[in-house]
Amino acid sequence: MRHFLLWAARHLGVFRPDQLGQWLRRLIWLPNADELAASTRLEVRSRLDPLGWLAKELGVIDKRSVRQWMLYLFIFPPGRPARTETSFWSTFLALSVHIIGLLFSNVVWILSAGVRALRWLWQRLLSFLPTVNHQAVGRRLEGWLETSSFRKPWLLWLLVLFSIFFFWLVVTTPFTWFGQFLFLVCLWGTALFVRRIPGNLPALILIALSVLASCRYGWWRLTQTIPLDSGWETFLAIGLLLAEIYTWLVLLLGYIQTAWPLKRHTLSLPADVALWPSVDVFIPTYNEPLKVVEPTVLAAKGIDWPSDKLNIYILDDGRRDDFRRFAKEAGVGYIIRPDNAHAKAGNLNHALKLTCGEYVAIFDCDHLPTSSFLQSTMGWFYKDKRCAMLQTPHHFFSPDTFERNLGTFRKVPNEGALFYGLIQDGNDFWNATFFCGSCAVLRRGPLEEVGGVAVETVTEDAHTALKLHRLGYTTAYINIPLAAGLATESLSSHIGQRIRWARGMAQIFRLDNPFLGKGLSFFQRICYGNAMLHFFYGIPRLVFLTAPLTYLYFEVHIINAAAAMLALYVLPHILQANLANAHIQGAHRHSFWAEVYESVLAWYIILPTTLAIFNPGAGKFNVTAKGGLIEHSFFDWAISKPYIVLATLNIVGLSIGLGRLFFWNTFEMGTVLLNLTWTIYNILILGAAIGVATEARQVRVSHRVSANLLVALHFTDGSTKMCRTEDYSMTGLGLILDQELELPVKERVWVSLWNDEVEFAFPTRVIASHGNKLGVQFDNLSIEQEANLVQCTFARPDAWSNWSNEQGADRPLQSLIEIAAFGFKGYRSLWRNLGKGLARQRQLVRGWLGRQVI
Amino acid sequence: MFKIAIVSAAGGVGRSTLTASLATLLAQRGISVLALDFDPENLLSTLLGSDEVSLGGLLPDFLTRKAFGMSALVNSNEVACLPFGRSNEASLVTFEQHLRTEPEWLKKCIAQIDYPPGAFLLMDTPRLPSIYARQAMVAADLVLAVLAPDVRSLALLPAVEVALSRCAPGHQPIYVMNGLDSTRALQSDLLAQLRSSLQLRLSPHPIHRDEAIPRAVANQANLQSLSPDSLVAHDLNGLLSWLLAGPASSHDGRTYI
Ligand SMILES: Nc1ncnc2c1ncn2[C@@H]1O[C@H](COP(=O)(O)OP(=O)(O)O)[C@@H](O)[C@H]1O
Ligand SMILES: [Mg+2]
Repeated sequence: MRHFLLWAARHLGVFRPDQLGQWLRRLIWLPNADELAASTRLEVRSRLDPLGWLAKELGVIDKRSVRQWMLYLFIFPPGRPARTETSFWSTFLALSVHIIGLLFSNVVWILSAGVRALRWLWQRLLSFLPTVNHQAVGRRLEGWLETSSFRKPWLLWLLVLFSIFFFWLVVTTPFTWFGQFLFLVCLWGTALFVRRIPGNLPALILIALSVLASCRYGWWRLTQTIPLDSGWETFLAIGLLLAEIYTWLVLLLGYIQTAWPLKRHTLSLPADVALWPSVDVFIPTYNEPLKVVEPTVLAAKGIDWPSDKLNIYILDDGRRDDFRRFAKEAGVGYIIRPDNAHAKAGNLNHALKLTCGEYVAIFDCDHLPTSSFLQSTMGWFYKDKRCAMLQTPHHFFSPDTFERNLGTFRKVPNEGALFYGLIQDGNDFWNATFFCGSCAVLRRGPLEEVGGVAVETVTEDAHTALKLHRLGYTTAYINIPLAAGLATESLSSHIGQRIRWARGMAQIFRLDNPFLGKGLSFFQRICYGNAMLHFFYGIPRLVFLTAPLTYLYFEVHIINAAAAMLALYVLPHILQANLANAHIQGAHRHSFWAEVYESVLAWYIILPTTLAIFNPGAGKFNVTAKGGLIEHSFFDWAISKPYIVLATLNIVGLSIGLGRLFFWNTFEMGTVLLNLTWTIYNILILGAAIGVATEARQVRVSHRVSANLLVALHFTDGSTKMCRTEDYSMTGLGLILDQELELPVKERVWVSLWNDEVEFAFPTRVIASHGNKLGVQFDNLSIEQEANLVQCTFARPDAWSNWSNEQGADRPLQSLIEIAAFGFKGYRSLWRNLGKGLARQRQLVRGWLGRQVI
Repeated sequence: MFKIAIVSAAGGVGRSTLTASLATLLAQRGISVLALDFDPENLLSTLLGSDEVSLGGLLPDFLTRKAFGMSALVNSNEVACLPFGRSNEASLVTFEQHLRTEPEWLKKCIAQIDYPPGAFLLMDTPRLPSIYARQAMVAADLVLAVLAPDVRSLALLPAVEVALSRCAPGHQPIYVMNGLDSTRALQSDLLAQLRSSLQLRLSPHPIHRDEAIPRAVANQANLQSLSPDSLVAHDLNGLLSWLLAGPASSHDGRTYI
């Protein structure tokens, strides 16, 4: 037997006969010549008992237990310490989760293989076509629009009329399936061509194509696909239709909102410093620890502005003594009030009455401004005398919940990136920049004219801006991070914050609806309207997450159309929307991530938004806690309940669907397949949402920012060494040296950092020293030293300017695969924690039983 | 040739150290450089690596009526150094007498040296007031005044300005601080004060007090190769780049600040 094996191995070119994989490979691929030569020298270690060997490799202890074999073959990762005791239930659960995981990965694999094949075909096809110089096309296109013949009003009107007519024609004409297929291909081909042209014009063309496809789909859905026969079906169908209309509307409004991002740059101030206005900086705080507020105040103190024209105030709604003491020591103002009416808005309004600067800059207590904040922003108030508010992005140097729990920090644009990277720039074009409560400057006059910061709603910021816009004031947005802060630290606080936003937006929608009332331009109404409508995604998202189940469970056809026809209509709609959005938003939001972000929140914002619509006065203001610490990784069961329920429903739906596909509904395979695809997509997205609920441990209290800054070390013997930082925080530095250096822990070292050209030295102690890495901790810094530290680190003008350089570009397919992987990981984490939870439960029960017996 | 005189009103502030270090650094960047010791202390050649105190030098040459620059030495770093040479009281009296009658003696002597274009001449001097420093300032395109991070240097600041304006009316020295210990708040404050009063005339790269300097001298080694990642090596590099990009870059050699 052994001889035969060796013989076969040699002839097949298997030079490691103990590896099964190689056998398999060799049976399919032929080895090349030198590999064959190498195999003549092969040796074989005897494997008398292959089963025993396999068991040992896998970690199976009881070779006769089928269950253990199952577990170790399919579930546990190899090399895992042997587990002796596993219950039947956990095996069952593990198996099912694992099988589903396998299914996912297979589906993903098949999909990506299909796409790869398609891409190859596409490439072949393209190679037949003549190459196009997209740059030249872009230039010609723009030159064309510049020509004066295009400027004639009658021509424009003619064009508009013609376009509308053409549009109407395309949207309403019914096609056969082949016609619709051609429509899809034409649109898609055009989009693929157009999106390579540089400039902003292609974005508009892509938007037009997307609107065309979506409207055509909408028209078809409205006129042809509503089942009108049975009551139950019609009810569900209309539910889905409404959800679709909502997304369609938000899509269209979003296109208008972001059609032409303004991308304002900074303006310089007059050279004569005497002309610069006075600015009050407000730092409202309620219950945040001093440790969080301190750096912000010190950073604000360091803002480059004539010192007699810069007044900083801590607005302490917590009325704490240590804050008062700190304010005195730091030499900044300290304002308190007798009550906490209207929370942050009330706090700001109270301070407005006691101060008199011409401008007011507002920073949340954990947003550190850079020293160039005012010099970069105030120029616009000079240029535009009607400008009442200027907003800058909220930049976060710590990972938010999504980034931390999914491990995507600085790799995938985060949730806020779309708003601050694109939407605000888009709003700015329509003079509809929203005030976001922090990192902004307001002109005192207009602010007082609208009665200070709005107190009627819980999103006082957006509402204040709305009031300013109604009075005809202008606003500005500068998309340069000039301040940075901590992101919310846990999923629950993230959800709490978003609930507040959603509720506030719904309140404004009820109390001061932007579509009604005086003073706003059409496009301002659209920008505000979209921002508010956006927060009503809760119910539609839930509808989409459950819609395929109605068919899979009950065989209810909520779309009355043949599956193939539906696919042909819906595909251009989805495809064009994705292409357009990837083009417009790609740098700020990767494809499919919106689904994840929304699915996490959907369930939680339904109630607050609905309540706020019916009773805008109900509920109270909750403050977002920040600067906290998650000491142990844990799974947030309470928060993830809705996702688990939805995921279970979808998974059951998937299994039923498989039954329908193969046994019960073989006569309408298309419909089953369509619904199955939809469910699988939902399952993936929900998996990612579950993954977000696995709270990863947060190691440090003060977050470390990675940066490469020049540092000098001064040792006690008078010698020095230059090195660079790996990261910094308010408590210490991580350093990288050129050479290895062993320093005893607790050794005193002075560390110099530079702010521009000025050097500051700080006393530190060594806390870790390995090879060429050194960790030092600051040693009792004085307030002045802390202020200098902030200026050398967080408050450097360019501290956040290259933040997203490492982010990859948006690749829709890769994004989908990424999310699928996160989905899978989410289920794995769910399963692991389920096991732990069950074990704990069982222990509890056993303990209880034990007590009963005694 | 661009000529820099390194002066100071206080003693022991590091003029010679700075002259030697800058000369070495210039040579390292491939720029021809001559370090001229115009201080009877006659220490510069030692700092530049000569084993024993030079006996020969510009003073003996003057006394024996040899041509100026005959006794220049070149060290392993390609730095040429013209030592002052051994002196005694009598020879110094004669020499100083001559210098007094001919204030531009050094300038004329230097003009005779045939040196490649783009070369640098660094002149070490005794503390002000001094007839040697005067001659060097008259000859120099740029006067670099060294300050120690103490109140004395601050108080003597006007003395430097007066001395220079007397030798070369309309010219102002540029300043560099040497021996800074940035872990002392007092010294950092002083630096900030100087920065705001001297502004662009103060080098933004103060030279820190650093053990690497005496260590290099003791080992007769080149600072840049002995402790390349020391703070002072970084400072000197910064100072030189700043000089080359700013004060020492003007075409006709004179700075007008
Ligand atoms: N940056 C420095 N760090 C440490 N020691 C220094 C530094 N600069 C000068 N010294 C030391 O100070 C002393 C005086 O320096 P020196 O150059 O001879 O001054 P001067 O020429 O002005 O009299 C020398 O011992 C020198 O090693
Ligand atoms: Mg000297």
